[in-house]
Amino acid sequence: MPIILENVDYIYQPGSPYEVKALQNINLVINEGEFVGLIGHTGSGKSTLVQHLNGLLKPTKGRVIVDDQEIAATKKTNLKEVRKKVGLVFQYPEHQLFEETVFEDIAFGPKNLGLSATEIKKRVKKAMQMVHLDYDKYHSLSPFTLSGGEKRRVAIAGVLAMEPKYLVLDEPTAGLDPRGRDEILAQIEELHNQGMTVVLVSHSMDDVARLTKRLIVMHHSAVVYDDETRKVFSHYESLQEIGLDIPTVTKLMFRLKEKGWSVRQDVLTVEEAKEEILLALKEEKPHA
Amino acid sequence: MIEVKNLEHQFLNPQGGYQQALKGVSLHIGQGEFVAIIGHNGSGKSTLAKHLNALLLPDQGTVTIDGLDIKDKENLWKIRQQVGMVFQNPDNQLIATTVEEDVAFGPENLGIEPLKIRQRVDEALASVGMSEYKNRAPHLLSGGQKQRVAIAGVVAMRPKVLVLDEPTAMLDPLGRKEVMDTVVKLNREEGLTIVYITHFMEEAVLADRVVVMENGLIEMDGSPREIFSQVQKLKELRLDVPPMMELRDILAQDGLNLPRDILTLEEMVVALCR
Repeated sequence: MPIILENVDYIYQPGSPYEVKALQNINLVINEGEFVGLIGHTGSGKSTLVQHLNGLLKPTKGRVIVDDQEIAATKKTNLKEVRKKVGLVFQYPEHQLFEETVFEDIAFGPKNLGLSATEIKKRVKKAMQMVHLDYDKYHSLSPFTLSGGEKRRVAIAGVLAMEPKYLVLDEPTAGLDPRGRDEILAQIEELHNQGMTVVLVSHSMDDVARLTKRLIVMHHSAVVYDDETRKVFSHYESLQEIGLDIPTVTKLMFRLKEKGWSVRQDVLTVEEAKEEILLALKEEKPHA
Repeated sequence: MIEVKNLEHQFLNPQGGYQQALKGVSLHIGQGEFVAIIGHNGSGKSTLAKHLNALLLPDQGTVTIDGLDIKDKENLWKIRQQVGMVFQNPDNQLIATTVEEDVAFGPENLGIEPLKIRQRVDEALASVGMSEYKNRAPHLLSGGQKQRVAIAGVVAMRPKVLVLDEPTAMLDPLGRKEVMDTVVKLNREEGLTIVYITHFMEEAVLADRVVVMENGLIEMDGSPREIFSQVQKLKELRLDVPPMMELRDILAQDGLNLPRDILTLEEMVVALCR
């Protein structure tokens, strides 16, 4: 079953002079097994939207349906059930580490579910394995002695230990070095390949181009594009108008086209660009 | 300007042992240069940077700034005034309730007379394009604006060198561009020497010179073109390669004859259309 957002509005501090409409008439369906990218400027409403997916915020108007749980302004929802299903990894999740050992930190969520000690241990081990942290080496260490990338993996493991069906990550690679970023992204991709539904909020066009099949673009509190990633990036000019970039190789294709080359413009990776350029050169040869 | 010779530094790690963060680094940075330092976390970048204004002192080797040895305690304040530092998290660096008070903090501590402080603050804010915000509360600014205020706070000390340790790591693309534009301007127009640590290769490309650190040592040192054309080596170090350089590399593998040092998209377009 999917996550459905129906005519969702969200207003911060309604009725006060500080009233801000952060979401405006959002309609989305996120299906099981999808890998969806979410991009938009700071202040476009991405984080507000994401907090609706697990009931941290309730819509001011409209409703959110997670599997069979409905979340609406006036409705009483079993939010505990929703949060078990939808794991949310915030920006800089390592700021939320607080326990004395890595084990205790990852076990915190499962403990609150009232699981048995054996089940908790099993889940912690599994979650650590999923983010490639060696159990024997790390479980008794203080999370505060770890590197930035390791801390972040501990924080993500804490969410995974809840065994969510949907995983929502808000800029999970911000502030990491290239190696740390690649590791985290590879692990997210692996989780997706094992069947996890993933929503990835990112500022990196190259990352969403490489990873996601579907891309949602937000601007001024509304969804402006929701389509195949490839198709979204073909709206180069309108994306630029709202201050968003496209992957460098996609841009190259637009420039080559302007120069009269017959190349596809919906190219997303360096490999694809190579194929396209070689193909175009081969076709050009006879005229040259 | 900056002379680093055989610098070694070790830390006590949490497990109780010693960890060699710098294993003999030598580096000369001339006046007015814009040097980007790239490399993984733990490669020694920040440890090196913190020696440049004597926040850390060498275990072995020497660091001199304009001939002043950082080990000599008498030089400490002079060095700190000449070499300003800007760090990653903008929220940890702003302390006052308005932007201009924040920028005035440094010069006030230098004991400068009020009228001159006023002048320095105005100039510093103008140089980072934040003059209109001088009466605002820093915590209400965007990330990029906060970092520019932090830079203004350093500029108001009238330093010769600006050391920035991943100043854009926590910013969105717009904020990153604001900070980068500001740094480039301070280098080109005000002649400040810049040492810029980053993980973003598109920022390193804008420097005059790129230093690659790995495992406590300098692994590569050259112009952005020289460094980024070594695609295989960068990949071995698991660093990012600018997309156009990567594309050039795989096109060349397929027999396409392209210049070795294509750095930007426009250069690629020109090369392909020849």
